[in-house]
Amino acid sequence: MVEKMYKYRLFLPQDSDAVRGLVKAAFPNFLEGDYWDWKHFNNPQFDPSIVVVSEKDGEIVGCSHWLKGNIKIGSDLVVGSFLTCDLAVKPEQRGRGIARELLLQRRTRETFRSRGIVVNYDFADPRLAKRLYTPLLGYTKVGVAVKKYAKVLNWKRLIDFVSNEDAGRILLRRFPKLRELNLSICFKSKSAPPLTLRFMNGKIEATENEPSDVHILVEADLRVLVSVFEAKHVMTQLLKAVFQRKIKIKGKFLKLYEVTQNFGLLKTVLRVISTPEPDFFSHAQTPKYKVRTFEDGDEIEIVRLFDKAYADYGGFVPRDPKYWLWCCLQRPGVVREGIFVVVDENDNSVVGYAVAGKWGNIWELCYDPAHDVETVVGMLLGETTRYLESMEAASVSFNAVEEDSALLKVCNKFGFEALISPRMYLSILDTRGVVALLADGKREELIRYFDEAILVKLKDVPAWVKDTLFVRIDRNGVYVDENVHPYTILVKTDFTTFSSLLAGVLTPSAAVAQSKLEVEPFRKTSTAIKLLSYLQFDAKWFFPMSDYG
Amino acid sequence: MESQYQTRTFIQGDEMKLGRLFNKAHDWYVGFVPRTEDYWRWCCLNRPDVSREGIIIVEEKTNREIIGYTVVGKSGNVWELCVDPNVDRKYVVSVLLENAVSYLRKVNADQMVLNVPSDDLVMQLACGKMDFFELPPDQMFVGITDFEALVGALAENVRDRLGNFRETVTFRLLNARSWINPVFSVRIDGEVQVFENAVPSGFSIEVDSDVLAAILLGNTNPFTAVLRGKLKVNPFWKFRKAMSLLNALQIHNSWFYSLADYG
Amino acid sequence: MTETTGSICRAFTKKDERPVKALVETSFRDFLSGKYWAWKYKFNPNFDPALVGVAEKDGRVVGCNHWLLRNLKISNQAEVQAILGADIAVEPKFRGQGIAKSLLLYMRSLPVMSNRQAMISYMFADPNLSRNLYEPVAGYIPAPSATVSYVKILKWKELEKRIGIMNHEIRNDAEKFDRLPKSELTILFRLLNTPQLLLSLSKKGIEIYEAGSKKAKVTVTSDFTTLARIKKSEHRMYHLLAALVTRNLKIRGSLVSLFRFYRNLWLIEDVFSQRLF
Repeated sequence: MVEKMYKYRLFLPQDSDAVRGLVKAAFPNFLEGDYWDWKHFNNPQFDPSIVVVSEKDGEIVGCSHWLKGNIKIGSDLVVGSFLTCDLAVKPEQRGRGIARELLLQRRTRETFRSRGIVVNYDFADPRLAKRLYTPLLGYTKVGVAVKKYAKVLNWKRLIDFVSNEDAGRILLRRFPKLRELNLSICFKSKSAPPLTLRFMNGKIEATENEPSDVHILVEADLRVLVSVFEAKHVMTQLLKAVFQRKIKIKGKFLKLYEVTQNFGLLKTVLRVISTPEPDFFSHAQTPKYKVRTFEDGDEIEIVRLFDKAYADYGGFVPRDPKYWLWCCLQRPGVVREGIFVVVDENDNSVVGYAVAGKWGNIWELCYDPAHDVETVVGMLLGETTRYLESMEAASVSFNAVEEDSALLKVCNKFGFEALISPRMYLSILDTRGVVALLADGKREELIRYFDEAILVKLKDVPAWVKDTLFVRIDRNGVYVDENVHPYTILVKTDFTTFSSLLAGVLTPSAAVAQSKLEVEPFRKTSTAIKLLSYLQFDAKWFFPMSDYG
Repeated sequence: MESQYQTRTFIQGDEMKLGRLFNKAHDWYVGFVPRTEDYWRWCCLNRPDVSREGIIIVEEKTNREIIGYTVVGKSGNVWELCVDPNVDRKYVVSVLLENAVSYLRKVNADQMVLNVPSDDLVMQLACGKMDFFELPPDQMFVGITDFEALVGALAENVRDRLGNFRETVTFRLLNARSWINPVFSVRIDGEVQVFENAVPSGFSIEVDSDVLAAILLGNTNPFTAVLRGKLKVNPFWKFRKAMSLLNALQIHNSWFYSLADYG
Repeated sequence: MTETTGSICRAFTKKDERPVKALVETSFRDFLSGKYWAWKYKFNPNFDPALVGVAEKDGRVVGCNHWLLRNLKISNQAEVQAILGADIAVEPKFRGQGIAKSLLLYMRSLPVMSNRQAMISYMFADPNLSRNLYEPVAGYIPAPSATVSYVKILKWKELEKRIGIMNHEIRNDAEKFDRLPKSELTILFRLLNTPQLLLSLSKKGIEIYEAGSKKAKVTVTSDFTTLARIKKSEHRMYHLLAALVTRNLKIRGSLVSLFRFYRNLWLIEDVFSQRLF
């Protein structure tokens, strides 16, 4: 039995608040996020049957909108179109294919035909388009005849930003050198009033003037300045622009040197104008971590934290409060005094926890990756080690994700070594079910690239597994069963190899190279390899001790 | 010049004229939503950051004919700016831009942003004169959801240009996504008829669906697609006919979109 | 119910609780002192007694196998019903008779299999056991793991237990007893992030002393990762020398002491051969 963690459905009027909030949070820089009602709900063309939401445990975590309209595509030619817009997914749910699934919902010939839709278009970040829209939806970038112009009328946004106390605190925390900095820079450009930034006594002041006593004077076209500060390698672009005399810099050498030493700070401040960090203020308050022991009710937040921390992994039992209480709190050797919880006192949110059993196993140790790992994990390791020493445990051990280099650093600091890798083994009991599940996740790609009927013949199968599997892929979809049907490709392999392929621990090409997999006819080998590469678990597996101890 | 025109702000009833002016001013371009009265009202007048004072209109003093307008949002976005192509645009564009800047200063906006057609030198010069700087334009991405409808519509649109072309062509789309019909035919013989499946045809064009989209949208030359092996004509001696058809179907107009169409 | 030579595999019943609990306690005493059966099964909200199999011989429960049916997250977006295969135990004197294999096969004849209730089964096992039993019998393969265990040693408790057992074995083994050093050899182990360990090897056997209470004739400085690598490898001497050359392992002492250390390496290997935590 399969359960999809995320459900996708059409928008309902009662979803308005949730969707509005989602869009506002995702696009705060555009009209302060307050435009959903005008753009969609109150739009005379609004059609709820082409707005989809993604739901997890009853909570809306993502949404995607189509706006129906017409678009002119020829001198006298107007066709029906959908504008794809306001695709938003909650930050903590990103990276799980939700955006992809949202974009594919309602995407059928019937949907387009019944509404007379001929094209679909979007205005997107080119990187996102390259990664998602083009491969998934076939979007093509059109050659535009558009130039975008801008003019800065005043520096109010920047002035407000630097005089904001929270921003000042965050900047001081991020750039401690600001405390000793004594520097003034004036920016002169045709497209904007002059801007002077003064860094003094740990504070930053921004004014719209051109004083005579500045340390550094920078003259440049704003376009050049913006492109330099938005570049991947800012220093390189800056030097290039100076060399090409697109930016002129005057000032004392020592002060110029100070600028290079504080480049990060300058970048952060000036980026407010063009592409401000959307969540710059999300940690406006410096987190105040406190560690305490478990209290009734913590299990709800703990379970959410666990889900968030291991969102990208498989291999564990998805937590709910009931399961967690049984597998942690009620476990032999575990008492409340051995469960440590780190909270951020600013909002009392749980940002880390550890469940220590008195014989030395830390059954679960988990932290919010958005927080300071060194402090949070350090607190947890410190408390659990102290506790276990008092319990006279001989050792302390816990499972963690292999590739978590931040955690590794903290563990080494606290005297933990990554010694062993616990061994999990799995056996596929229902090959048809597993293949159908994997195929469902890659349905669009399979339908697009393959039109085949594949018969898989397995040898050395356990008695409870059928030795044949049939997969048909065509325009109608993907069909999987365990009977023999006419086929276009025959794949012969043994059960262990096939299981390893599905589990993602063996690649199809390696299986062929090792003669563990044969394809008939031979000319279809590359097709079979390509197809099988779509039918693999795509997540690495993490198993907390509490799941099997 | 100045005495000929006057400037005012929006009044009820202007919607239809402004929408018509927009369509006229962008007649050569593609990629935008053709304005209707209702659409213009929703997308400009009812926009959250737009008030009537931000809709600045230039009209002829004598007959009150609207020859230019701009819709400026308090956010600093110039949602639309158009001028009748048949008037002296230089003056009108300058007036509109100056008024937009004044308005934005009045409402304390910190910046002004607008889209301008890249082949509109008058607008570009005016922006340059007013010390605007250039930003990278937003990118538009288009996907074709109904190839046979689009090919049919394009063929209908260029029927005159097709001249003596009298053929039935079958398109076979490779790697077509699930919502795309992979095989369809188009008969062009004075009229254009589209069939949702393959019918007996003079020749067939076998092409990757993404490549055909790029060809129709004007991104790729059909001949280049042939050279790269992405497009095949069967039988091959119908190659020239296929090329002339695809060249005729290509959208050659420039794509322009005002901020109002996607903001 | 299935039958192999001499034993029968059948479903668990209430009266099997005590013997099964006792069997698990003795088989897995290293883990939570074996006292977890009640929590893990009886008081588990998801426990299904129909998913426990017992092997009976001459009216006695000699083996057991447990399955726990649960959800398992297998990717970003999907959870499946899966079986955790846990606590398969056979009484020591009945091992090697194919009872574990029978239990594995018996479980796979249960309705939960024919009803396709679970898509995957998974378990945690010793690699050798998996290779020799679970893989050939039940089709298990290694899972795509991204998991590592971090360990910190607080005390040498396990080592003390091991030494106790070793001393007992040596006393009963004349050959080993003869090989013990005639005069005391004290070795101080300074392993990074662990408490210092002072061992004394003599005719009395192996004794642990508090670091600093005696003068060490040989000092071994290293870290656990290096020691674990040497321990795991098939060519220990090679890895030992490599560690010395790369200075991941330092052994200090007088020439005579070092020679004696080398002569008694067999004893030190034995001390560290088992689990240390």
